[in-house]
Amino acid sequence: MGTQGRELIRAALLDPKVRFVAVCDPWEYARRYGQYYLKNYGMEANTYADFREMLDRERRLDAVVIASPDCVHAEQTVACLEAGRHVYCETPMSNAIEGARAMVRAARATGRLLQIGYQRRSNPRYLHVRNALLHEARLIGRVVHVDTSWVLALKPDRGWPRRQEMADDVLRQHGYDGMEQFRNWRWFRGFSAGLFANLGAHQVDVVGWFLGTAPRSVMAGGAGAADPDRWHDDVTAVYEYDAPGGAVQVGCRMLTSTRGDGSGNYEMFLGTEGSLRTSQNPAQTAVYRDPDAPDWAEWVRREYVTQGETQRLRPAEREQREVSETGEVVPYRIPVVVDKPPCHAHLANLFEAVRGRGQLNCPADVAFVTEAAVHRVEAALREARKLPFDPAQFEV
Amino acid sequence: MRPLAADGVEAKAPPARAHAFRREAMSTTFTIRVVDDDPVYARRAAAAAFEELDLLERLLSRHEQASDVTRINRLPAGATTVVAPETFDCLEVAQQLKRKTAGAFDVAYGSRRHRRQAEFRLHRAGLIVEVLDGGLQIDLGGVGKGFALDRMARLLREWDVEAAMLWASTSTVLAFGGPQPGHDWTIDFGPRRDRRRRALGGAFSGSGSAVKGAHVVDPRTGRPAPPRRRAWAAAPTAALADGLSTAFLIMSREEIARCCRHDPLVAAYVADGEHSFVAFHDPSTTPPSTETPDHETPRRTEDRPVRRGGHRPARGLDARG
Repeated sequence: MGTQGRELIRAALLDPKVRFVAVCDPWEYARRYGQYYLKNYGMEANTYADFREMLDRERRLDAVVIASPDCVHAEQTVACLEAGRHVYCETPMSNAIEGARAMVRAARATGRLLQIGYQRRSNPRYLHVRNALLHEARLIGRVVHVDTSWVLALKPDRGWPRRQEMADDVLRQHGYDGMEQFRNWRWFRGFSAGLFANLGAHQVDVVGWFLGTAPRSVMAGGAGAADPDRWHDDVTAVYEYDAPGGAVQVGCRMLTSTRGDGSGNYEMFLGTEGSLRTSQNPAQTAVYRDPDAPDWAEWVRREYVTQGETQRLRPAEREQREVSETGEVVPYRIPVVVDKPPCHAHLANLFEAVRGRGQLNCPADVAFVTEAAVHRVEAALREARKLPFDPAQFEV
Repeated sequence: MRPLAADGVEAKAPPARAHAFRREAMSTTFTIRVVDDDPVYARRAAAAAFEELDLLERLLSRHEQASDVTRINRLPAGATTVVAPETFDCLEVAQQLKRKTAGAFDVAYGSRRHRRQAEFRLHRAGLIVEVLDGGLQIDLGGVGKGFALDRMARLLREWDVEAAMLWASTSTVLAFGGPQPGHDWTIDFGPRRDRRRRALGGAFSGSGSAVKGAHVVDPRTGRPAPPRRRAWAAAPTAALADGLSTAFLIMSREEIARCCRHDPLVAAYVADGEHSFVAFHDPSTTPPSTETPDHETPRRTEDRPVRRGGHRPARGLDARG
């Protein structure tokens, strides 16, 4: 019941038919918080320190939402699937690629649903960009390059209320050498799959989803890992893709030691006839038309994109008389409003699939391709060279 | 009693146990002063409080496309939506403020600007907001910052922080404990020529038009606040103080007196210009005058001697509602 767990609860409960019946966390403080939080919604949830005990005793469960440290994702997911529950598991699937493979196999073997939290795949704005703008309208022509950026200084180390420390034996039982490591597991090798796999992976997933293929190679550089037990703070990876239209280079920047200019996270697709930037932040989402590209009037009329004021005044679209200073380039906008938290649609997609309506947007075998791509970054960084991918690496 | 200036900086050198942290949110700067022997613990506690602040901004902002408030504002008449417990609680406080002020505080006033009378209803079971009229436009700007201070203070207490002072800009402040054992937090406020000081063991907020211009309108009449009015409110919670100080800007003195009579935990101070300062139901131990006649020339703040330690004179709780 950490920060993301609370986000998921809030997003899930926008669906009034969803009910939480149990909260599981080894930390009593977090358990009680979860129980108290659900009480606000009028739900009496049982609490458990051990997920196996929860699975044994909670017979009413349809599905389990997992937002625990990466190192226990595989064990918990496989156990839930084998107990006959559907699962929503946060990204990354596991801190080890073999853990991710085990999850895919368990989903296949049990026939249960396993949605991996690459939530952009259910975001209506991303779906519109991929399906309508890129694939149907081919608005930006052939994609030749992609830049992704995750620039967001992580908060300083997390603490805990003085009187809420876990007992040493409980911490050791879960593999932590103290509260410091427990509260800041994401920084540490052995507990997380690394910051790139936690954060930049969402964007690698979008790239693979939009381009419709897996990468051919990767090279990477990193900084900020003075302590050998900790992951790099900042990582830059360069992937090469053989997309259907031709080769595409993808630069992925994932920085957690700076806030940069505040633009946060986005993916910029550069094409032969325009460019588009996608982001969970609507203010960062835009489409840019190349001056020589075919007219977009048809797509504006069909409301695939909306025009800014400057475009309406462009000389190409009216008789040119006035001479003035160079006009500001105003991007086209994407007229899709997402008025719920980012993870809501992805959870709703799972709930609908559980009810027998529709299919998962990010089942485990689809997510595994992204997992394989991001797990390879660490090896590329360590070996300081370009590493090719074997197609077999993306298969389970 | 250690005096504090309005911006939370002590007039003397700060006690070694107090640690200050700042965060930009809700279009302003929030400041927390945590009193604790351990600076790392104080920083982590403040970080947890700021994390709560970030969450509240995501839920309550009408500029965030995915916020609860934006979603409510997009609903047609008769529609409902589930909101987060935090949003629901803030809306409840807003409705409480509307009742307390006889409609002078109204978070749905924006709807009327669009020539619509729009209301909403809250259903605690299921945390449901029901929109009763189309065109509802909720703006929690008059209560959200104070509400955030309340939630942040609650979290600090959960962390066993014994004393802290929390500010939203210089306009709303909430304090518990004291800067040192046996000492109270104090604040200065009032018109420039008639400064007051009071101990603070709850929340205090100020509003006026000196900084943002005449931005407050009486929702009941559409008339702007009196041009030279400044108002302050003391209340047990920062959300109440925040909303009340805004409402006191436009309420008549009789209405303010009635509001304070109905809630013994609320105190009000109103200044119309520099020479007319009235306190309503002031429980402060520092005796303020109940009324300063218009002809009396108050003591000039600038005439105060610089205090020991070389700090500037207290600036007072500026009217930045």
